[in-house]
Amino acid sequence: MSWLTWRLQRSTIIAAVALIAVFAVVVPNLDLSSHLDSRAANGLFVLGPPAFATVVAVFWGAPLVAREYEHNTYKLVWSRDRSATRWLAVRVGQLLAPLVVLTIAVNLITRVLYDRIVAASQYPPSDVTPYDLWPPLQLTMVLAAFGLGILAGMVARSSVPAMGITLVVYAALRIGLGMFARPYLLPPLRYIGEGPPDGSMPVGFGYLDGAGHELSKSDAVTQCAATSPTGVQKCMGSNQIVRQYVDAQPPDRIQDLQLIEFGIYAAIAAVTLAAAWLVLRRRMVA
Amino acid sequence: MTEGIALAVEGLGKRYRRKVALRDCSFELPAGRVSALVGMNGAGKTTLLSVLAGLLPPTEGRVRLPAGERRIAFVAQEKPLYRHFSVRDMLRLGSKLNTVWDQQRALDWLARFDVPLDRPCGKLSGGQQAQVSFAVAIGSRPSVLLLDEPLSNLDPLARREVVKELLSAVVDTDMTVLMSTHVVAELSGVADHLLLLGDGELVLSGDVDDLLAAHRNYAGPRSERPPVPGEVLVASHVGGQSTFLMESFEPVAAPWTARPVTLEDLVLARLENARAVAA
Amino acid sequence: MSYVVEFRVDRGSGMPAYLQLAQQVREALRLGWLTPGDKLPTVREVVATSGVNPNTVLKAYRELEFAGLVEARQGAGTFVKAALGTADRKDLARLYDELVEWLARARKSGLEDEDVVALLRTALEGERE
Repeated sequence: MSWLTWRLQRSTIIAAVALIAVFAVVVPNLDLSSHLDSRAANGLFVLGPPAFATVVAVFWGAPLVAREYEHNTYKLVWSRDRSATRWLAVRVGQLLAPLVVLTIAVNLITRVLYDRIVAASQYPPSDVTPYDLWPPLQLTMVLAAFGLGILAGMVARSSVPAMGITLVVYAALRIGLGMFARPYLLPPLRYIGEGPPDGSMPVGFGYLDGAGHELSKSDAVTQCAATSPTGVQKCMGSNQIVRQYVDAQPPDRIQDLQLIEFGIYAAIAAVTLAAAWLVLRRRMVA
Repeated sequence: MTEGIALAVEGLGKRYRRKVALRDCSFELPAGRVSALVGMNGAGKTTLLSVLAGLLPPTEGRVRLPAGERRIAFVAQEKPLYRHFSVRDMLRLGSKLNTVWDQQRALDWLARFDVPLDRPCGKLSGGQQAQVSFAVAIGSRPSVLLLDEPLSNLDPLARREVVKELLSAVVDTDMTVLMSTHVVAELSGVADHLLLLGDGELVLSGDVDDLLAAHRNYAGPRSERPPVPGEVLVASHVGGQSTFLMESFEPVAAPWTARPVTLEDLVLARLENARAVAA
Repeated sequence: MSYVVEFRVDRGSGMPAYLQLAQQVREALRLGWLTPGDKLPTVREVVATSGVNPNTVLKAYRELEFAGLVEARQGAGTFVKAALGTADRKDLARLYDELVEWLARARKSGLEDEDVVALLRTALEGERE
């Protein structure tokens, strides 16, 4: 990293390092036999990595260009011989290394936390590592956050609005993709009458009639009541008149899903950075 | 001082979404000279300087620079600095950003105006911040220095000193200066070349002395017609007397008298004339 | 020895700045403040002390050179070549003292600057007729 990049970004870099250091100190010192600490551990596990990515988006990405516009300093650092696009490329390029290092640190600490939570749990340990902790995926999630922030700053040209836009858009992206879209990235498999294998990602469940059409729960109850001699409760569970199904992604598909999601985040990172670069070039050069 | 052209502009135009900021501007900046870009607020001075500095793409036309040494430094009207950088950091920034950097010249400028090197720029007075901007620009040893309203937030004493230092730097480094202002009185004796902008159009350009020599104020008995041939910029008739500000240097016979015009008279007359023609 | 002329540009005057500077040198010559062999300040010195545009100073010096009053010596500077006016310095000093005395009397009679100038101009014109 050059002196200039460090001088421009040092407060944000130091703040991110400090946050991660706190994370690193807290994780080994949690007492997982205590109810409170174990809830905190689960919270940290779920929210820690996305929080880091959000910090990168909001505090590293959004102000990168926006602050130059806001304080008019772009008039100082860009000129006919020192192109704005080159300036952007240098800043982004030089911040990539610290971003990768810090993301790996977050990943490692989260893995330690995961292992501790699993060790303290009464359930048998699963041999599937949590989905988000696959390092390439986690890295592209952070890079997409960075790119999104930069593009928002490019458009808003003012730090606070850029940070707000970034926060909303990135949160929507993570929630939308992680909680709603993820199970459907590949068409889920349907398991009828039997459960999906251990370690599957559940997608949904419901009822089918004899011909294999999906039934709403109330229709299922009606059919059972009309035709079953053994009573509604038993009929619903017996898979004779009305059958149960479970839609799920089996364990051997998890890696494909991760790969697809990795591709999506990588594309977002590439597109946002390229868009920021193109917008800047259009703005500066006729 | 080097003769020649430091920068040439051909048919330059800049349109914003709603407004035309510059229209068909063509001129040349003579090398080694101090040119003044004069116009009322909103005439397009900042737009023109931004285009020349490469911060704004023109909608049409182009800016030509001679081959070889062509470093342009621009001091924007806001005199932007990184507020959390110390003055020393700003100089270091200057040295990193520019292929040529004259640390001593920048330091001399700051010492001349008593600017403390270790203070963050955000904690300096407005005047001191302006001096840091000038020091960074001068330190980059530009071939062309563009200044947007350079004296606007300086006190009168500092203005004189900044002008002296700037002109001394012109002598020392052969740079070409283009400075904008809307205060014409600041210019006499400072600029030797004039670019006059009215509503985005170039109204007048040329050597200040030549322009002054080519205009006269004629005063005499009340008359609808001027005493000599030539373009009348301003005619006024008060009581029994008429005066004409004209583009002419013809001598005149009594009872008429001819007086030289001041730069301020000329600029105001040309701007008013341009506005009347446009209306 | 170089004599530092205090150059100044009257911004309200319509006279081009370089002519004002040239005229100030002429006046200094006429009053005997500058005599042949004296060195004029360098362009850099004039710019630094009076904030006048360097091209204006150069133009003024060229004008004076063209008039045969000064000469530029390569690398050494610009030097006064010819004197202006015929009176010697002693006479000038005496006349100046007398004028100061006369001015004091004029003031006592209530004359202001403009009255003095008008009077002087009338006298000059009367002499010519």
